Amino acid sequence: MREHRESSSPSPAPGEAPAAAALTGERGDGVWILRFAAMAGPCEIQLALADGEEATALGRAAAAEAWRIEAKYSRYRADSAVSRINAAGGAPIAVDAETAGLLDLAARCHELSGGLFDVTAGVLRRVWRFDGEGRLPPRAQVKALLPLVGWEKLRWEPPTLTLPAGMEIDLGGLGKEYAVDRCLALIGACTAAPCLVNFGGDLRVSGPRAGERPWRVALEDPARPETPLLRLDLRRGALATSGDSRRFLLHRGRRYAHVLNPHTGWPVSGAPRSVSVAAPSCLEAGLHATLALLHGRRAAAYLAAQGHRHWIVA
Amino acid sequence: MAATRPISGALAAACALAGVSAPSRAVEVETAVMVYSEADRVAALEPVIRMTHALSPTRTLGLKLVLDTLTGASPNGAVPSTQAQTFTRPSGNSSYTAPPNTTPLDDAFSDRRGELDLSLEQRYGLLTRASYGVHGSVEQDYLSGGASLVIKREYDRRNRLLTLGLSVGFDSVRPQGGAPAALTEMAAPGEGEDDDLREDDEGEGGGSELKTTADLLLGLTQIVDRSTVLQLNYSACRASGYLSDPYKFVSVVQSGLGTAPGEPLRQLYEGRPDTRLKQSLYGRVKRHLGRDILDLSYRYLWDDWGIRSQTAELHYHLRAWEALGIEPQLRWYTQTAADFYRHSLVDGEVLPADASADPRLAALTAWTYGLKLRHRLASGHELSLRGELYRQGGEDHPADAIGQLRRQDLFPDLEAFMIQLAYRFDFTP
Repeated sequence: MREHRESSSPSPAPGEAPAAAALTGERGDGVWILRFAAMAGPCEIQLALADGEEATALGRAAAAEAWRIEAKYSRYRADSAVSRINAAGGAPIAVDAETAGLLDLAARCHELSGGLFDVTAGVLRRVWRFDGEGRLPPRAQVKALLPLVGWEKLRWEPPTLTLPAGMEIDLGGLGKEYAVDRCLALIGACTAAPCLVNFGGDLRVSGPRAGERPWRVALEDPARPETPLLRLDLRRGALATSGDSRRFLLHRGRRYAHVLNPHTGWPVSGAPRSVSVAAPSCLEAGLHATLALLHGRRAAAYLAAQGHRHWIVA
Repeated sequence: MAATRPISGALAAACALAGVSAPSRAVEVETAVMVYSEADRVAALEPVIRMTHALSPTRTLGLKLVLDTLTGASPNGAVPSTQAQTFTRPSGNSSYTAPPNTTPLDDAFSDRRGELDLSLEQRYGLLTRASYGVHGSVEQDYLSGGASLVIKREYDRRNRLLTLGLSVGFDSVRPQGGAPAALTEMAAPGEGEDDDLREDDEGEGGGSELKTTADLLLGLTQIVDRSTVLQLNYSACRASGYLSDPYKFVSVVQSGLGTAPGEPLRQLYEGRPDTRLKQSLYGRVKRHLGRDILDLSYRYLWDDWGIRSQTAELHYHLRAWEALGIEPQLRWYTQTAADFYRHSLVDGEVLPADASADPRLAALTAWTYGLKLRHRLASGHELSLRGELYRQGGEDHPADAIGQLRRQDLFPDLEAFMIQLAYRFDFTP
């Protein structure tokens, strides 16, 4: 049976530009480039198609899918699936198949990472503000939040999730990469034309361009956003980056990254500034990059053990 | 803190389960073996292999190969008698005997069949796809071939799917000794080469009879809300040519004026009309109840032979456990008899234009009880086991039975079971 598509309009939130105007298309080097904004950043789709009309139609379908995922998993929208879960107030709540799939993945990542990857850790942001200034939260405040953190405290009996009152989940750490994979699959189901889906630097290609030519993609320098750190040739698979140069905390000369250890509630020490990983799917690449950061000063050892190509900015 | 052990394999598998695995270029294979058995009657063994392979993201090739072996006995249409009865096959050079007071069964029924289906599904843009198919099957006395075209297009933000299906089929039946003429008397032993009893054209030496079919399907699938899918289909099928069964008889029995009313006097080969137009309406609702799925369907079928049938089916997919799916199934079927269905003809009556005593054309009601178990292995492969029990009953003692027929069971109940074991896997060539 086909997955049910949301009947609510997968368009940007009120106040943003309407869907049709939000997508721009231009002809590039043998490709059509479609641009739109989603997931708090610029999104770009490159399609090796001659027909601009077909490329635009596909771009629009992909943008609609990205907006749908964003609306569904945004913590900032009261009507999102995630907000409904977080507002359940301790009551069990049944989730749809797509959300169940992501929760299954979150459970598995929690298990595989020995609890480092935890979608319930978002509540710690109430006390941690990584705005570049130098204030550490009082230890007592952090400690007071720890009872609300821990995947093992919730009950996930598919399709029913029971979240103890006060706890929250945040699937934002998976959302962008998931959207890249979904959009690529959507386009791949409609055309055999080579394609690149790039959502704010997390990207995936369907395969090489004509004549086995690679796609040329850029890794950003976290210290100087929008500035390419290096250029890469990618023929297949995905590339994702974790780490954000703008989100840190300086205290007495010590730099605290915004990556928090869910066990302690404190930033992971010695984490690199940024990690990029190449993997078959964007979700895998993004999860490996996030898990590497969570390993702190052992990030390089973690990545070496996984066997994927990776880049670390210390 | 976790050791820096390799988890990429496990993570890739977990991501694949979340529905975002790399577009598969693998060959998906489903193999199955089915055993079907009717108590004291037909038994069938049917291995099936089905493969699909994505040639490109927009093109998928499908192949299906079926081999089946049927053995056993099936009712030949004749009524039971208080005496033993001997029947001659159309070839005239073999015969079999039915004991007294039992439904006569043709017990040398044995056949092997091979079937091959090929299909190519092609996507045209985001919303349209077409499937082109050809198929053929071979039996000892039966050849069948055909072609089909199915076009599907999505509308309404992909919440509505319209289907148009067209197919044609050509069958050729070539019974040993040729197809007997309708309502002529069964050949006596050794009479098989008597050309007067054959319907074939001269000179074709036990030639074949042809049948052609044309099918139309119109379908609508609509997603009603987050958890409900509704499907409505109309289909029509027109068949023309040789539609009779060359191995079935209709008994002519002594009338109430005779010395032994109801005793068969002679056996005629059955004869059916040479065209048939079948139409049906089908509705189905699938609804998610939490993780489970309720699947309800109903079909109403009518044809110009006077058969009206109804099928209601209930499936419940229990999906509480990730590795094990349980699916109880229940089906109810009922049909009225064809206008020309006669359990027997009475001596002295004007011979009708068509007559058949085939129990499949009689009024009947059947229940099927089924259970399917599905187990997903750690490898992602799937093993499934399906069992069905079929019970069919009809009019054992019709009001118009005369003489000794009143004491005979003219429609013995049928009980059959079916077991199918299937294994689904994929590999990358």
